[in-house]
Amino acid sequence: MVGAQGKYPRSVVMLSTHSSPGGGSDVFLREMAPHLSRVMGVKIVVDNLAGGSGAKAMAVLAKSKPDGGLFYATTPTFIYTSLLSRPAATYRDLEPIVNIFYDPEVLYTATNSNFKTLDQVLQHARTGKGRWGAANPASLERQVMEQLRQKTKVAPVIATFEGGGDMLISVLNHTLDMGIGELQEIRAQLDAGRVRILGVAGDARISQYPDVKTLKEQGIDLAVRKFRGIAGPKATPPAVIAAWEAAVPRLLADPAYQKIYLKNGLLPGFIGHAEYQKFMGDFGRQTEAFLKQSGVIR
Amino acid sequence: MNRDLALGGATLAIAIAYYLLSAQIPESQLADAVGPQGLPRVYAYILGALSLALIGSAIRGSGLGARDSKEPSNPESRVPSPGLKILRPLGVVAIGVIYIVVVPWLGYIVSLAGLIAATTYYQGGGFSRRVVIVALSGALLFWGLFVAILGIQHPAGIWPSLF
Amino acid sequence: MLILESLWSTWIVPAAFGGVAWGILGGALPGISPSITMALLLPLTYGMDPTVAIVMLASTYVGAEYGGSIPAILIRTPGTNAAAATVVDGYAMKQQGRAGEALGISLYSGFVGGLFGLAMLVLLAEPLSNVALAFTPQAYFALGVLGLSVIASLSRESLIKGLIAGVLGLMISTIGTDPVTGTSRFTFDSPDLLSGIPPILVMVGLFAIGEMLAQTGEPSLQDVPERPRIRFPGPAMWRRIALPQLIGSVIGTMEGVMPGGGGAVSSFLAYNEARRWSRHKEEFGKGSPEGIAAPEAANNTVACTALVPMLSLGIPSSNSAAVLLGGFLLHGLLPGPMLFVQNPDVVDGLFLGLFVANIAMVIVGYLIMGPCIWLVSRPKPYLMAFIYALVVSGVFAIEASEFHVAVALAFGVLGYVMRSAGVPLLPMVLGVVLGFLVESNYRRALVLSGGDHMIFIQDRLAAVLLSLALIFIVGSLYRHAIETRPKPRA
Repeated sequence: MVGAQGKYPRSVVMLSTHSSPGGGSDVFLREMAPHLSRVMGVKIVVDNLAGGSGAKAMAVLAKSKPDGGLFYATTPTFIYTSLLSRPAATYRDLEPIVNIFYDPEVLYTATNSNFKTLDQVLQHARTGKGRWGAANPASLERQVMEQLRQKTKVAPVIATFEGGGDMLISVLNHTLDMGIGELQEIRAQLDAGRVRILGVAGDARISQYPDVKTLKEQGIDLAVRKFRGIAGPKATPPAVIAAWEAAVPRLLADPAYQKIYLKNGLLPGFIGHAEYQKFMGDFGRQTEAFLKQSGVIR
Repeated sequence: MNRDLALGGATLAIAIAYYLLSAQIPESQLADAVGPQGLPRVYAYILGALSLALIGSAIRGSGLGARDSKEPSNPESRVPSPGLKILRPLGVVAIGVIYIVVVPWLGYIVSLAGLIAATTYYQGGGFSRRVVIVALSGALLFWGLFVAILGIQHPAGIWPSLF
Repeated sequence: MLILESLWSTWIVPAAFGGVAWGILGGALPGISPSITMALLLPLTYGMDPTVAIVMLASTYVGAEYGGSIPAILIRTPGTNAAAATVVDGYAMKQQGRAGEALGISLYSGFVGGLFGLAMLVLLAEPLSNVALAFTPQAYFALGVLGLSVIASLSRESLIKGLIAGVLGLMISTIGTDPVTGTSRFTFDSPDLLSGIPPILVMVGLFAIGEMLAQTGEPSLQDVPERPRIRFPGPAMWRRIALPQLIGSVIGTMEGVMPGGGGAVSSFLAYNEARRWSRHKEEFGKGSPEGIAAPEAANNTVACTALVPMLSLGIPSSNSAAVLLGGFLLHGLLPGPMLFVQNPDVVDGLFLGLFVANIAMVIVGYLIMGPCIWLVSRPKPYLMAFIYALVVSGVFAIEASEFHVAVALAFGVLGYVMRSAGVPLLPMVLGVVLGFLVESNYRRALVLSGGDHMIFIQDRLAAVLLSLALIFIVGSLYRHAIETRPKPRA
């Protein structure tokens, strides 16, 4: 059931990820695969092309046949890897097909810390003793923290970690005033009432936490969109692209899947092909500008 | 103690090369006080100092660095006798290098069978029908283990495109 | 007995046995790490009952930690990072024709460590998770330094050469993405090097390929008469290895609960401590049963206690725990403080499954011992060829990369050169394993303190660990000075 576009050219579609099995993107895809299979009427298989933080997956994709059989699940990681090293193929060698979700980035602190609001964290940072954390050294999360520092003109130190779990511990034991991460990473602590969200670094509030304001609502002009979408090889046939464009809105409206992705704090973020190309180009340029400005790359 | 002298010289060269490479790491505004070059430089200094100490003790012919030579019983330092025997291991490495080069074309099974047969021959197992059979069945066994059971995508080679 | 009922009425028992057997297989293959072994199984567990799936994954972890010691003992190739310390005395025993005994000690010690770890997990999950929370970046740095201090005592033969090997290992660990700035270091713009050199490549290269090259260099090496007698340790041996097992279990418990650990550090620390407290110090390095018991008890303890922060905080302390976390999430379960409240049945099932898994490990481990020993008793040319094939296949599997095979070969050559020059190998392994932990946390702590080194002393835990390291180093230097003092010749 692909609809007006006719039959999808392949019966099996591989969705590859740079995440190894059990990693964030891998779990996301494996949860999505059965629902997407149902909606698209093809068998969706998740394939792990781990290695080189996406470099390997990009290389495989760029060389693959544009027949609708192999796609890459995008996250900002593949843009960062393209810019930070010189992989054989970069994000520019792939065709952005559609976007599916935004993964809201939230700022959070320990519930038993001295901070109840973002403003208090910022006030504390004005004393010169602020300590903020971001999970990875060169990542969207780091970028948000650096930009927050610039926009609010405070001077906290920003420590980076080797993943969300590491940093979460440092927030829980008050080494850090505040950390940033995806909702999914802190959900267990959130449910147990051990961490408090201070703000959403996105365009809109999160439906399950309607009281938490976005940064913009708190007077800070800062919003990022951690995207989760699909990219394919260049010259992917229009019929294939059209099939994805038709399928994703239906996937997002599917009640069974809605229950899962809302629980994980994902925001539906369908973007069609034409606009997604522009989105990806802008995202790449902005990231490159940030990395150059901060001297990470030349 | 020529051996320690050579070792000290080699590690000193590594220390210098590593230091020069670490100086090329680009400066970053995101850098901390220590910086990406910080610890590499320290490591280079320490290695340099240790190398000099080793060279010094080798020249003196005694001291900390020379002690092990009196204890050949240590299994980590079995010294191969001089002569051609030192070159023999290079053949093993060559087999591995050839394997890496041919495996994208010949595929996993054929290349691995070649590696098994070549290594068996090189280690004095001769070359007979038995070796060929063992090599082929060994390669199939490993294929079954790694590719069929564990699902590791070892290269298939050019074969699939031929049929 | 509700528990026994659920044991028989569900698939927990077969899942535990299956997981353990799969884990031993993956663990025994160098390059297939415990986390990869579990990850390969993950998609298969998709359709299972959540508890059964989780038990199967956790059992795989248990099996893999034992499996890693099999090639470490038989062919001088650690199958997992955590088995690196077992290589020394395990392979020495094998060369003396005591392979069966060594495997028996490893299995028995893994069993003891596993049960100890499980008891800790069941009884002390809550207090132990507070230990994880007590670890600040400065404490992690101190832990890394404590691990590195082992180099001093691992380099009995030559302190300078041991330190050289250690520093070289630290240098190797700096390859890849810088932990603070994200800048690429020593990668020569190659994406293959971006995520650094996996320690298992260094180990497989130095130990397995290096050994192969060395044996090729001396074709006359006498074949040790192998007595493929499988011997489980008897009461006398139980008494002898009880202390090393306790040391390993306690150290393993501590490391398991600390995020960022993963077993390798505890194995080395346990090995070192076992030697320090041993009445037969001189046997270490030459085939001491205690030298196998301590690290093997430690890494199997870790396989259970690593679940403490994963279950109670939702924070995985190692790659393997991260895969297990993925397994929970895939089944709609969210590990963390609420898991014990919301899904007590899953938690109980998991504990039960882990108990079965430890028993399964002994049974499966015992059954495969004979075939394993038979395999390594084949004529030398065939054996070498199959070890070579195993190594190139396993190393490739880490990231499906021929580049990694080449790196392992290069480390093989390095290992051969090092042993020819009398440079010990273990300090380099330690440097590679700990370099990243030490550097990233050193710099992170200084970022947090604004460059003030006092932060390492102000943190109580860090201060204690650093003092311990200092005591170890000074002690080793003192011993070294006494031992190398020129003896009056008669």
